[in-house]
Amino acid sequence: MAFTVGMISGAGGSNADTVDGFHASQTPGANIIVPLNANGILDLSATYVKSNVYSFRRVDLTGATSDYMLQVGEEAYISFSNATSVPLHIATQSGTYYECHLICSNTGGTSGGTEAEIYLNPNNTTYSNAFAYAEVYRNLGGLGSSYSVTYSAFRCGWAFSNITYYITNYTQYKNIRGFYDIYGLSHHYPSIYIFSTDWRDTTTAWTSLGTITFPQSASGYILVRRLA
Amino acid sequence: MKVWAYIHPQLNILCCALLPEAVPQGIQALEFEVESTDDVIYDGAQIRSKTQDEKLQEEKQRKLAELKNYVASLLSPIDYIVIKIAEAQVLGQDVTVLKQKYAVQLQRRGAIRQWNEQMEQAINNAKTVEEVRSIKIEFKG
Repeated sequence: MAFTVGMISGAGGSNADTVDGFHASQTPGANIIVPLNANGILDLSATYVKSNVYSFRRVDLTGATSDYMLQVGEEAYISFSNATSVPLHIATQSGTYYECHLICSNTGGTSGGTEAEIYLNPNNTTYSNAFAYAEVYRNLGGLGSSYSVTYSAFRCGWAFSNITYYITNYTQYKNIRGFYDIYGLSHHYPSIYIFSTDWRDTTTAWTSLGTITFPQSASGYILVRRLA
Repeated sequence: MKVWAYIHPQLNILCCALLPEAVPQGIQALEFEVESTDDVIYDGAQIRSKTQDEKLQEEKQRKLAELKNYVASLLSPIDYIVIKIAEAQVLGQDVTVLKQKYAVQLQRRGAIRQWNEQMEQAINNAKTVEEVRSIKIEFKG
């Protein structure tokens, strides 16, 4: 049986300070071995873990000024405060797929919201009447549904909403589908909406995930994880 | 919010960029300060922001649709009573007993319809978008 043993070296016979020539440190960096910290946690917050197919990292894109391309597995965090417009600054391309969570932190209740849509505007742009939207819902008024082909962006919420949705980006088929709770309005708090919305344009490339727009000032955060 | 509106050269539709850098190169865009991207329109001759009256009419239509859905949701659970009475009438039966049996529900239906008319009138009479938005659709009968 053959064993391969790395070279452990230390100055003057003392404790080894390198393994196969790599130093150990609790500050992550290139060619550094990182041990568990005093709490038994492998803290890689300054860097990330990557395999051939997946990256494990959260990037804070709050206040970003240019688009960032998430790698598969990477997660973006964007916080916003009293905003009506939140650019995500996430680059995208055909063949990608994402999971998103939009969390509003505004106080719960049946007033304070505006009766209008929350949109994801792809490419930070509206495209007149290019989007279709379908939903089924339950609110205080009962069960209902609607279908519209006159939207100019992806509708993904209403007034104040907490939203979970999935984004498919093929240039030839672009879709968002998910569900949300609405609050800040009568007949809601809570309510449940299941929706799907297509960008009915099979040639325009979706290159920037875009900007979220709210019908009133909203606060909270957005998580976007790239899955493919 | 600020938006930059233009007619897309390939798609030939109105587009509004939410960031100045989202305007495609070589395109002349018009800058607008609006509440929502929905407030910019192309009327066939020019790109412009909606007038206050256009916004008011839209808000009224939205509120009336909300009212219609709400009233339907109040009435539909007791629609079977009306159908039952209508069936009895078609078959030439005496509906007096049925009317007595369901008197409370029938009275409620009448009250809902009366309230619906009052709400429609209030919405149609509203003079501003804010006034329309402030109308609460809730039947308390």
